[in-house]
Amino acid sequence: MTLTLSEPDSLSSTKATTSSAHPADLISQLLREQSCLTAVDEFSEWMSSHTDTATHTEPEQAKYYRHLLPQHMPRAGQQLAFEVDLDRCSGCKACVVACHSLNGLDEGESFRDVGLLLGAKDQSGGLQHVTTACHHCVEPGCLSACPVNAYEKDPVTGIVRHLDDQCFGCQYCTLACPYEVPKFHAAKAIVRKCDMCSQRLAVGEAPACVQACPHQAISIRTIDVASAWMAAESLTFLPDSPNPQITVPTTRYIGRATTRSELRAGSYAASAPEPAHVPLGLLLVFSQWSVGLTVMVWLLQSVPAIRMNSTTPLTIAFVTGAFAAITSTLHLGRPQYAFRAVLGISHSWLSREIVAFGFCIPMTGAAAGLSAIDSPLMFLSLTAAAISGLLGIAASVMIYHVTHRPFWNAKRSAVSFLLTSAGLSSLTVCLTLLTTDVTSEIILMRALAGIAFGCGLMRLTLLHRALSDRPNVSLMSGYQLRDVIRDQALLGTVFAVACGAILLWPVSDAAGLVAGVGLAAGLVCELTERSLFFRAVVPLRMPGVVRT
Amino acid sequence: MSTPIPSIPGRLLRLLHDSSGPLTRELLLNPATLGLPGRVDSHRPESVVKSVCGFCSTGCSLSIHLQDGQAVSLSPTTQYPVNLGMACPKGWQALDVLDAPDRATVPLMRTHRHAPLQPVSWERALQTFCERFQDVQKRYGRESIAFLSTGQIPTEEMALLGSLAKFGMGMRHGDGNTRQCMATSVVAYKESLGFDAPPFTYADFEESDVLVFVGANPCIAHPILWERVTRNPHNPNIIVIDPRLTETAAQATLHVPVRPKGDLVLLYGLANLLIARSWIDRDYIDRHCRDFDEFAKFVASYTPEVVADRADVSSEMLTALAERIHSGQRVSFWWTMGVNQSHEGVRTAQAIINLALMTGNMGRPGTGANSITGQCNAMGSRLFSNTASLLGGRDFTNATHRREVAEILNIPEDNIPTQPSWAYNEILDGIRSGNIHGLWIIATNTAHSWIQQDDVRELLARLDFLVVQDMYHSTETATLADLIFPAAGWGEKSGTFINSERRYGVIRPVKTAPGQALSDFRIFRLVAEAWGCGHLFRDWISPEAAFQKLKQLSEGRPCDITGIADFCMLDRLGGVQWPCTRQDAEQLNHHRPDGTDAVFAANQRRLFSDGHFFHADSRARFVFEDPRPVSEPVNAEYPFTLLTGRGTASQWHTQTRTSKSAILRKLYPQDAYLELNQTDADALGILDGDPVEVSSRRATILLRVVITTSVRPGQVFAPMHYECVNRLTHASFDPYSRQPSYKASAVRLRALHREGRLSSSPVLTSTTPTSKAIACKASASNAITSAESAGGQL
Repeated sequence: MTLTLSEPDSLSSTKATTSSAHPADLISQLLREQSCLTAVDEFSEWMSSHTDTATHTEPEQAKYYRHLLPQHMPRAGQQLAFEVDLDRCSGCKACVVACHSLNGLDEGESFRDVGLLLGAKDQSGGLQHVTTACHHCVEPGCLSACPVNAYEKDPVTGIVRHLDDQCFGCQYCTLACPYEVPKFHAAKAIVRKCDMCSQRLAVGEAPACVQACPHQAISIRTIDVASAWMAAESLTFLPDSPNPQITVPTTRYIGRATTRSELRAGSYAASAPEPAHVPLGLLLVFSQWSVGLTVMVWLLQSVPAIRMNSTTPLTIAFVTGAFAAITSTLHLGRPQYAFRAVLGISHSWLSREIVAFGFCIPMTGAAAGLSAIDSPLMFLSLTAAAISGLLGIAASVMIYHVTHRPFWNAKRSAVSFLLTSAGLSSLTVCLTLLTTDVTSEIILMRALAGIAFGCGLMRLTLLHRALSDRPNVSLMSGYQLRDVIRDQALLGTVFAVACGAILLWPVSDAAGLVAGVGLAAGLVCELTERSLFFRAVVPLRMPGVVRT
Repeated sequence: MSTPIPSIPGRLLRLLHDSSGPLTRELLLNPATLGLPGRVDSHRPESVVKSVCGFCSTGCSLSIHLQDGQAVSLSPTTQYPVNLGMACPKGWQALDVLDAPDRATVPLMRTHRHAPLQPVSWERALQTFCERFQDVQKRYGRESIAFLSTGQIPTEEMALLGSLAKFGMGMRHGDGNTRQCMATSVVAYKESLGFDAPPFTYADFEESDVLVFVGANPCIAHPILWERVTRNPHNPNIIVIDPRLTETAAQATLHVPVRPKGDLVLLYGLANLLIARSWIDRDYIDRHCRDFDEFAKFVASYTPEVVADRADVSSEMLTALAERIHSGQRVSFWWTMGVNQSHEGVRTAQAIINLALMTGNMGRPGTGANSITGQCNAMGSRLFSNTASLLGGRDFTNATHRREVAEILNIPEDNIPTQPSWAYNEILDGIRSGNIHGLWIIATNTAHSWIQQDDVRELLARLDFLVVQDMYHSTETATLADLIFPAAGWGEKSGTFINSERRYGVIRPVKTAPGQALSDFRIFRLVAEAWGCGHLFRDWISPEAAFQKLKQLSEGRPCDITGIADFCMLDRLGGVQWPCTRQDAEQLNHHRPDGTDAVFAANQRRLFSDGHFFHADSRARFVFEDPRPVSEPVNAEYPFTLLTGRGTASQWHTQTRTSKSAILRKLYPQDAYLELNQTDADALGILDGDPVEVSSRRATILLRVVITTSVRPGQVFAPMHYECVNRLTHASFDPYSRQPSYKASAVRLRALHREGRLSSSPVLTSTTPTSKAIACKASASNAITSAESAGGQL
C-alpha cells in the first residue's frame, strides 16, 4: 500500500485517509492531524446554527438562578446582601473556582473562600462548610481605614466597591477588615475584592458564585439595613467568627449550624505567622525614636537648669524621622500615588498618622536648624514637632487598635511604642552627652541611663508576659516564632546591661562605647519587637480551613 | 474600547480620584453572548463547543469558549441533562491543567536503567518500543508483556488499545486502573443481574423519597450528583452508612457510623430485620428473583445483637434504618468506593442489590441498587477495554463470542486469546514470579496509586522494559520508565466517555497538544504500524470510525448502541444512555425540538422496568456468603484502622492534573495530613497541627495531624492524593473482583515534639523525626510553589 498524504484542509478526522504502511510518513501525518482542530469548527458551527443568538442575550443559566436574585431593587433603608443557606453548602468549593474563572481573575485569585466549622469531640457534633465573600458591611472597616478613599459604598445597592485605580497599595484595608476580604495582588501592587459582581447584577445576571453553586446555597437578597444592625447587636452572625458589631456585616447565614455556638473554626489551631511588613516596622521604630528625641529635647529645654546643646539630638531626630518617612513609602504598592494619602483624613487613622508625621518631621528639621543658629523661634518649632509627633504615635496606636485584633489593642501597643520612644531616645541623648559635655551634666546623663535601663527591663517583662498569650491572641506562646523571640530577649538583655553599666560605672571613654553598643542592641531589639508585632498577631477571620 | 482623552483639569482630578483607569477596565465584563455568562475580554467567547468533563464519572458537559478555534475558557453547560449548568472545581479548571511545564512534549528514553531520560524522535521511540518488547517476547514468551490502562481515556482509545495489544501484539494480560475503582461492582452486577448493568438514571436522585448511601461521599467525590439530590422535591430521607462523618453524612437525616468493614454484617442484619417484619415485596421476589429462601435462611442468624456486636450499630439504629427503608415508596441505594474497595466488596455490593430486590425497589423511578462509578470512562472500560471481558461485555472463553468479534473486526479468530486477562494485582505478581518482563502503562500512575506502594515500585524496577504513556513526564510512574510516549490529554482529542448512568458523551479537541504529543488513539495507530500488525487496524482511522465499530460490537448485546448515529447525535440529545437500539433512537428523536428540556426529560432511561434481568431465566439472583475477617486487624502494636479516600472535591486521584492549577491548590492542604479524633489525640498528647509519625508493618511516614470530628476513636483517615499514603496500605483483595482493599490497614501513631506546643517556653526539642519517616507533598509535580508561600507576599 502506498501513502497519499492528505492536505491539511481535508484532515478532518472523519475524512482522514486510510493510513500508510510506512511509519515515518504516518508519524508526520498524525502530527499534522493532531495540530488541526477541524472537529471543533464542525461542532461549534453546529452549535451556532442551533443557538438563536438574538434570543440568547440572557444567559441560559438564568432559568436556574432567577429565583436566587432579589425581587426588587433596594429602597431607602435597604441594601443588597448575600444570603447563604448553610444547610445547602456541602463544601465542594465550586463557588471559589467559578468566581476566579468567570471574573477573569489572576492565577490563584478568587474573591470567595470556603471555611469549616467543626463540632466538639465526637461525630454528633457535625461539620459545616462555610462559603464566604465580602459581607458588604453597613460600616465597612475597609472603607473607613482606607487613606485614599478607594472604597465606595453604593448609595442604592449598598455594595462596597473597591476602586482599583484609586488604590495605592498600602494594604491597610487587609488589616482593617475582620473577614480577610480585601486581598493584596502583589503583581498589580493593589488590593482587589468582591463587588458582588455588580456588573452582572446591573443586567440581571447572577453573581458568579450564585450561578455556580450546584446546591443553590448562595443568593442575593434585598435586606433592611436595620435588620443587619439588629443581627449584629444580637451577635447572631456565625459561630466562632469575628464580632459582627465591628462592621455590621450584611450577609445572612441561615441553617442549623448558625445557632450552634459550640462549633469552632476548622482553622482554630492552625494560625501561621502573618507577614512581617518590614517597612512598617522600620517606620514605627524610627518615627518613635525620632519623636522620643524631640519630646525629650523639648522637656530638657523646659528645665532652665539644664544647658545642653540640642542641635545634635534634634539632627538625629530629623534624620531618623526622615528615614522612617522614606522607608514607609516602600510599603506602598504604588508609591507614586503617596500624595493621595491625605484624602482620608476625616476617617482614616493611617491618613492622620501620615499627616501628623508629615508635619512633625519637617518641624523637627526646622528645630534642628534653628537650634544651630540659636534662633528664638526654635522652641516654637520644637513644640509643634513634639505635639504633632505625639499625635502621630497616637495615630499609629489607633491604626492597629481599630483592627480589633486583641494583640494590637491600644493599651498594649501604646505602652510598647512609648517604650521604644523613651528607651532609644534617652540612651541617644545619654550617648550625645557622653561624647560631648559629660562633666557638666553628669547627673542628667545618669538619670537618662536610668530611664533607658528601666525601659530595657520593662521591654523584657512585656516579652515574658507575651509568651503566655492565648493562641487566639498571638503566636507568642507557640513555637513558630521562637527564634525571633529568642533574638529579642538577647538583644533586650544587652541593651539593659549596657544601660545599667553606664548608670553605675565611672565615666570614661569606654562608657561611650558601651552606650553605642547598647543603643545598637536596643534599636535592633525594637525592630525585632515590631517584627513580632506584625508576625505574631492572630487576625480576625472567618472560620478557615486546615492549613498544613 | 477607546475612551476620550480627558481635559487637563479632568486629568488632575483623576490623579486625586480615579475610578475608571486601566486596572478597573481589566475586570470589565462584556455583555453575555451565546447564552453564556458575561466575560472579560480575554475570555470572550466567539464560538462554543460542548465537551464532557474528563475527571470523574458524573459526566458533566462543559461548554468550551473558543477564540480563533482555541479554547480560552469554559463554563458548565446548562442544556445538558446531567449537570444542569454546574461543575465542581475540577471541571471548572479542566483547561488550565493542560498548560504545565511538565507536560511531555516529545518521546523520552533512557539508554540504560540509570541513565537520564533523553528526548528522542517518534521513529526511534517506536522502533525501540517494538525491539525491546519483541525481544522480551522472544526470550520469555508472547504473554510476558502486558499493559496497564486507565478509565481516563475515551472508549474508542480503550477499544483500539485492547484490540491492538491482544489481537495484534499477542498479549494476553492487560488490565486497567478501573480495577481500583469499580471491578467489584462489575462482578456483583454480573452475578446478581446477569450483566454489568448499573440500572439507574440521574433523575432517580430527584425521584426517590428515601436515598441510602453506603460508603459513598458524593458531596466531595461527586458534587454534581449531590446537586441532583439537593434538587429532590420530595423532602427525602437521606441515610448514609459510613464509618466517617463525611460531608454527605453531615447532611443526612440518618448517619449510621458502621465499624470499618462491618458493612456486610450490617446489611445482612438489615435484610433479616426487614424479612422478620415482613417488610419485603414477596410478589416481586417471586416473579423476578431466585434463591430468596436460601438467602432468608442464611441471614436469619444476623440478629440485631450480632449487628451490634460486629458492626457497632445499635439495635435502635438498625430498627430506625429498617423503618425508614420500609416507609419509602421509592427507595434508592447508592454505593461507591467504601463498598468497592473492600476484601469482601462483591458480597457487600450484592447485599445492597439484595435489599433493593427484596423490597421491590428496582426498575421504577427513584429506586435501584446503584453503583456510582469513579472515573470519567470507567464504564467505557467495563464494556470495551478488552481486558477482563472480551469487547462488548463478551467472554474470552466463549467460542461464539470470539467468532463474533473476529468477524466484526475482520481479524483471524486465532488472534483472540481464549482466556481472560490476569487482573492488575496478578500482573504485578507476574513480575514477581518471573512471568511478566515488559509493561506498558497508559494514563495511570501505578507507582503512586497502587496499594502497598514500596512493593509495587520494587516490582516495576525489576522489569526488563517499562513504557509509560502519559500527558506529564513527571508522574511518579513516568520517572521510573525506560521510555515515555507523550500523550495528548482531554481537551486535545475526541472520543466518547460513558458516565455512571450509562450515558455516552462526546469529548472534543479544543486545544492544540504541546510539542509532539499525540492522542492515545494516534499513538496506538503508530504502534500498530511499527509492530507490524498495522494491516489489522487500517480502518481504525479516527475515533469516529472506531465508534462505528463499537456500535457493531454492541449489536444484540445488553449494551446495544446501534441506534446512536454519530457524535453529532450525542451532542444534539445531550448524550445517550445505553442501551440505545434503533427503536430506542426513534423514541428519543421523536417530535421534540433539539436542545429543549423536553428532550432531556425523555432522555432519562433506566433498566429493568419490566423486571426482566439479563440471566437466561430473566431472574435476578440473591447472592450471599459469610463475611470474612480483614486480613490485617488492629492489635496492641498497631491499634488504629487507617481509612483512605478522597480529600477534597478539588483533588483528583494522584494529582497529576489537579496539582497544576493554582486555584485548585488553594483549596486543599499542601502537605499530607492525618485526620484524628480528639479523644485519641488527647490520649496521645497530640495537638491540632502537630506532626505525627504513622507506621504500618510496611513503612513509616510523617503526616500532620488534623483533629476532626469526622473519624471515630480507633480510626484515622489519610487522603489518597498524597504520594506517601499508599506506602502504608496493606495489599489485600476481594477474591472475586481482585479490587484492592484500601480502607483497612493497621497503623500506629507516634507524636513528635509535642512538648514545644504545650510549653510557653520558646525553646523546643528537636523536630527531626526518627527512623525512615518522610513527609510528602500533595502534588506529583516538582514545580509547584505552595499557595501559602504566595500568600506570604502580603
